[in-house]
Amino acid sequence: MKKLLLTIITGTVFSACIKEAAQKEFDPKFVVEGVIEHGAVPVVKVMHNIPTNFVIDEEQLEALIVRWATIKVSGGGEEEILTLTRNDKVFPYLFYVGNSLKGKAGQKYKLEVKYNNDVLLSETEIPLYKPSIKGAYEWLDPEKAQPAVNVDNANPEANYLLFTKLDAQHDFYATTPRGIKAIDQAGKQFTVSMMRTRSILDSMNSSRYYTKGDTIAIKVSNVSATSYSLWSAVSQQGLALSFLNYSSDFSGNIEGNGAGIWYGANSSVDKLIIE
Amino acid sequence: MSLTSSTEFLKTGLTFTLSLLFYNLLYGQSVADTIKNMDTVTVSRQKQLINGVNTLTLSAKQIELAPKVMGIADPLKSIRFLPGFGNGGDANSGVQYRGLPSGSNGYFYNGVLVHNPSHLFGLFPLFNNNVVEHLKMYTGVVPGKYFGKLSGYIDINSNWQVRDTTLIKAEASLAHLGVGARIERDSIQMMEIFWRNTFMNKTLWPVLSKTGKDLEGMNYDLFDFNMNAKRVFNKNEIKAFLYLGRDKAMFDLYEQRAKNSMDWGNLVMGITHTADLRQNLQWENNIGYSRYNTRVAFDLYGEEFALFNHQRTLSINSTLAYRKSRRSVETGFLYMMDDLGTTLQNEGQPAQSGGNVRYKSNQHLFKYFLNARSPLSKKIQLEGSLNLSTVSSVESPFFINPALSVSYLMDARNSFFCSLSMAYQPIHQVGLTNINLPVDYVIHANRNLSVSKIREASGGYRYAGARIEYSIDVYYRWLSDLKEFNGNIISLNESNDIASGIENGDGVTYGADFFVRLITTRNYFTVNYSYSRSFRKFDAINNGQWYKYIYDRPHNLSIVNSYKLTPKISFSVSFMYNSGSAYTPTVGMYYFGNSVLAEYGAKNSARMDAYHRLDAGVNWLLKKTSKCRQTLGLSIINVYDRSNPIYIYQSYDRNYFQNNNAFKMIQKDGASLPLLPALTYSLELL
Repeated sequence: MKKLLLTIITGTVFSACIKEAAQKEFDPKFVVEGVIEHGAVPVVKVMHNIPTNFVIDEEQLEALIVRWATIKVSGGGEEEILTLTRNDKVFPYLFYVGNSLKGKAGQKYKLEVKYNNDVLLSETEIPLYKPSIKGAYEWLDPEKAQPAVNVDNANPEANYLLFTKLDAQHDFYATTPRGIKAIDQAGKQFTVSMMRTRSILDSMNSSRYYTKGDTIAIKVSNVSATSYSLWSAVSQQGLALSFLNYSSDFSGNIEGNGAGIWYGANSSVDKLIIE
Repeated sequence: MSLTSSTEFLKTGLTFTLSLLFYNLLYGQSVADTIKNMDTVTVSRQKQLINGVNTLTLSAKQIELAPKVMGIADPLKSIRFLPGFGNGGDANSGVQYRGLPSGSNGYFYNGVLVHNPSHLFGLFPLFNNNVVEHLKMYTGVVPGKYFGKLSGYIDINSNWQVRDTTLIKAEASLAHLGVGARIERDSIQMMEIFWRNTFMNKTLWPVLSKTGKDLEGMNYDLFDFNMNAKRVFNKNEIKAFLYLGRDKAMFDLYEQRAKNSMDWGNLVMGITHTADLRQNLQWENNIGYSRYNTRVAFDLYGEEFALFNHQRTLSINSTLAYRKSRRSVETGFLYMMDDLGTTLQNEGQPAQSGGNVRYKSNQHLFKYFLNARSPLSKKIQLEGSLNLSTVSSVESPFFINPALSVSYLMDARNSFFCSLSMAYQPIHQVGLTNINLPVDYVIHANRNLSVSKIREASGGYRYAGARIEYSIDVYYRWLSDLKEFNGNIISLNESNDIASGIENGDGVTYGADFFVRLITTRNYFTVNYSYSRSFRKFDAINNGQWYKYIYDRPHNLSIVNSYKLTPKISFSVSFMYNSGSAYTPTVGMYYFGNSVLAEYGAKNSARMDAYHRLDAGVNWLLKKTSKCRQTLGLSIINVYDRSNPIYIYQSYDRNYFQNNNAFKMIQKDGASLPLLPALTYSLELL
């Protein structure tokens, strides 16, 4: 009886083994974030990824930013090699911008990034429809003002990305919520309250609100459905959401040894002074 | 419903749960009826096996034996001490059996399906042990009235005994109040009601909001009501029951600018008619209705989004049974109608405006069954079933699932058995997270989503002595057409097609369970060890390669000991050890879009630290007369205050940047129950 039991148990335990996938190690790649807006020159940021638990100090930051890439944008019969530019008030402080080529609504644009033997490719388009918006704000209490934006919901196919920035800031920052789909909104107009998000350079105490005297710009960008879903995936992928156990890698629309998004946008900006 | 509000909502839900636990740690009051403990040792010396062939049985008295969270006995938590069961965590009702998740089990109350059997994220029992007689777990060859789950069926039965007594029960604490009455007359009729209500909004949250800055605006209360009635008419009897329960929670986020609320509840009711047609021949008819609905609402700066889920199930079954000695035959049919719906409602939109309906479906199921048990010889016993089922709206609507077990009885105490079975699951319960908040998506199999299937081979050995019972089981389970949510909550929120976020794949689980129960006049002692593995293979996940399922927890050890020191005082301890859950590690990161994104390693290729916890309790019979009985109980959960991780994630360390001007990621984990004392007092009046 003992032999029989032993045979059954060991047989089950050892004969039923499943061969799992091999452990996946860190794989170096390029990270590309590029945008071309209607009426504006393209802007492309290229960086490296790094292993987890890697502490990035100022010296390593230099190594993280890709500064020797050749970046070409083409579309509508035009093409241009972008120029490396430095702005210490943003991160990454080195990025590539165009000079003569400006985006046109309804036009497709290709991106080509070359670095040694690596070539990264992508394509996007700028939607025709330009959002019609009007900024507003409300006082949550005497210290905190909350911006909002009223959007004319004329085009049901529009996909809006939402941004704000202080007048003194160089970059627009995505808000919470990051985006709204026109099709999900009832009525001819809708208003969305926007909460300020922190940049990684912000401190723990940085406010999520604005205060008296602030001049802020609200930007609403209409992007293609594909671009919108890519940015939704970025939101999903944000590390704060790992709480939800999401554990798939983000890839975006960059072909080659890279990840990221190259997208076109047709944007409107409205300025507000908090009074 | 924005991404951030969803996230913060879930975080706050957990914050709330943990806060409650800390409150109990600080103030430690919660009262439940623990009187039954004093009788346990003497009553338990019956020959009823806990681990039978295809069936596990646990009586209400045995459920009372282990130390209790918040001082309240919980039937569902108690079965984690039984063979084959793993630990799904603390802040949920998760019951993992043989490597499969809670959603693969069917939960029944008096034979009627119960959806999401959880109060207070699993910390407060949905099933009130005061009105329960026993719990049974069926797997393999299962009774015909159960259908639709892969792993097994847990049926909790009310106490239907009828004698001639009247009993009034009351339990109270600073957090809840419970009152019940049971009237039995002339051995032919019985009626029992029990009502429980928490009043944490009056006592708990006002105090907590002064100590925890994130808890302002927090509200949470729940109630439930049980009613059972039985009447015997000559050779007929009618049993009816009703369960009604509801949880209501509300909390603020973003410095009180976002109000979030959620409420959910169950209505379960059923009527069973049983007729003794002639000697050994019985006819049982049952009609049941179960409704579960949730509303999760986000009021973000004045814009309200609400997510509604509902599931309604009507079931009718009829069974003709012949039972005589070691022989029995059961045949009959089961009909089930299941109605599901998920709606996302934005402000100003009517709830059923078409564009915001994320899922709406109903499904019909009809099943004919034949179960038989008979000895082939003096030493060989056969038990088998054959079920013919049809399910509406699926591509291949007909299912045949046979099951057979053969037992070899060496003598009166020793037996072996082996079993083969098949089962189907046409309603998929796909959790959004491994934390069992009541926002799981429940989806029917249809022409886009196939029916999940299981084939199981198992075998084992049983020893049934007068004082000792022990058993060994081995099993192997093949699973196909399993469903996993791809994890992308945002796309789910934006899509009108929930099924687009569901992936299809296969799996296997296998393992061995060892169980010992020892009973003496003073002692009740059980030890359970389960070795269990669970793997999955999905084309769309982990590059199509095998990976550990999140509930792959190889080693599961549990020990329960209740010792009667004197006629008035008894002690109890329980210990659990479980391998940690599998999780997906991060191997890289990068800056993108003003945030830091992670790159992941192989799916579930890392394992959290092991879970282990020691609980202890003492019960003191304060007073016992012919008319009155009072008991005082003290239980301490997590005696050595082990911090057991229930989830792990990476986060950007903003503090580090502030202090060192450099970027760094840190690994964080969420811990489960802290050291948690509870003082209980209960009163029974006869």
